[in-house]
Amino acid sequence: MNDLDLITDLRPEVPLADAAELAAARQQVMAAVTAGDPNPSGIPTAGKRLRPSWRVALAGATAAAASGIAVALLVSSAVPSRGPSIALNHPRPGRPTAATAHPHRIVVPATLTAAQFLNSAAAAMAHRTGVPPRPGQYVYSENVTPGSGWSKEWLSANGAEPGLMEDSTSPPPGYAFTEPPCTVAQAEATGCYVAAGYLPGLPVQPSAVLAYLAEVHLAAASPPYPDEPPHWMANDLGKAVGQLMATTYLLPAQQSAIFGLLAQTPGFQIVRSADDPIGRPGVGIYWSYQGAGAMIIFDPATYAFLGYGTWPANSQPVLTGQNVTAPDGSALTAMAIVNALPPHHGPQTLTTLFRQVRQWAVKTHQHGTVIQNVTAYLREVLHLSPAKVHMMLSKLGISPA
Amino acid sequence: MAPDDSQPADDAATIEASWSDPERFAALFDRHAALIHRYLARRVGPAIADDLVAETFLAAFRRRQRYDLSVRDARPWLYGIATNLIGQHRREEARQLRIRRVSLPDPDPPCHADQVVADVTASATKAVLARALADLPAAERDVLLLIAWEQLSYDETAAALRIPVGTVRSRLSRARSRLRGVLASSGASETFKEILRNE
Repeated sequence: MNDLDLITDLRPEVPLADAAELAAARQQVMAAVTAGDPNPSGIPTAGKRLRPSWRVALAGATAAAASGIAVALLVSSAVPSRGPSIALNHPRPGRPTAATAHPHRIVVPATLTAAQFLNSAAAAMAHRTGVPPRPGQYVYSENVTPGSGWSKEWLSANGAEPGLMEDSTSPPPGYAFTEPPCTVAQAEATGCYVAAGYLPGLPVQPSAVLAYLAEVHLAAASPPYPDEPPHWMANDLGKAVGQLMATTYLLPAQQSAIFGLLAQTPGFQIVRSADDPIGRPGVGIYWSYQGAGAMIIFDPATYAFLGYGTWPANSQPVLTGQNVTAPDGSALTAMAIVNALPPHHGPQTLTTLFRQVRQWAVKTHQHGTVIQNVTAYLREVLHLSPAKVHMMLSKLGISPA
Repeated sequence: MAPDDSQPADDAATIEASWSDPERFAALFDRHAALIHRYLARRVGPAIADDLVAETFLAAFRRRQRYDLSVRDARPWLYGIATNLIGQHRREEARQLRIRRVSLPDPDPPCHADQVVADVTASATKAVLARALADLPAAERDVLLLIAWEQLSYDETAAALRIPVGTVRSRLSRARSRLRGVLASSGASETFKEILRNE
């Protein structure tokens, strides 16, 4: 066995999908194929490139607890933000989410275009000031996806320290994963995904934003393929902006530049009355790509990012009317600058434990210590109750130490 | 390179036929979608794989006129397109690797403490490797995983990524030496030797 075999060993066991599991994908492909040209009118016909890594979140008790954690972690004097009113405009998760909870929807003029809205946002942001996090601090964000789960992320302000992510959908539940450090320089050099909570280099001129996003691999500056369908840039930028705003602290001037760039990018449509996934009213900036649709949603008064929504391929969403809601999506429910990571069990703890186990078990067969280590592993890392630990050890034929 | 590749179907003929009769493209999907889906699922997780497999074949369909008909087996071409799409999901890939760094023990563990210890130890090695894999430059990771996970040959990997075979070799070599370095510094390679000795 060599190192290549070790890598092969790491390969996740994934069974080959059967025809039924592939039916939806096949239908998407064949819908385009039978149309002869997958992009007859420049409007993509299938595929769903929009589902990003932003799947997150939940409801009820856990979310309420999550918001409690967020509040506890807030460093109030340093809370920036994306506009002075962000906290006011971001109901806590767990609160009633029906749109009726927000009777005072701002009426957006029927003639307003996406570019006009985005330019207004750019202008408004240009006049605000923000306080960036310091190196050593963390940007905490909390995103909720109704019906699916939540995610909480702590990103090292400059990407130089490991961050932390808790995600209700990750096994084991509630376990926190450290985010490997990846500074902007490392992202440029190695292609790692930049994991910084704040990007001081993100330009404040709209014309320079795209090149920067390409440098850190958040968007492509040119079509990935020469025959990329129209509006690929809207798709790339829409996703990048959604991802950035969901987890990264952006100075108002940076947000202004981003809005300015979006305003100049063809392919966006305005959704005048959009609800975010937890029912907060906003204005949607919608695009479609290969048949699927997505929108990023902003507060019409403060231009704060509320969240994003996506539609599956070929669902032909109706974007007019009141309270347009996407079937899938995620809402930003909290963002704060904090001084430290919360207490957590991360892989470093785990690795240490594994090393102890390895040293004792494999080399010395000193079972007493092994038992202690295994017990510690079960109890402290997997959070098993004493009764379960006892049961597990009994099953192993071991008398608990 | 695939589980069912005893006699590769003539993809080139299928693709050529689809130039004039687009619906013939369905055969290419039926032949290879499961394989490409599995590759995508291994790298970015099943949820995104469901989306990306359709996207891979859509991109292939758009590009079918430029397919090199001298290559009967379209799998490297499809792997290449899929790999390119994975490039847009690096963060999800990193997340998948992170998840893999923590694995629960067998819910019904064998009745032998040493086995548990070996499992736990193997998990530690995997954690180190998964981390190292996540930290590899993307271009090296693509080469490494096409070869180690998908069992593509050097030539097929070169075709998939549209790079010279020499570049495949050098990227693979760099990736492997990086991984060996990480293993050595973590002490995990010692662990692994021990595990092997005890098996």
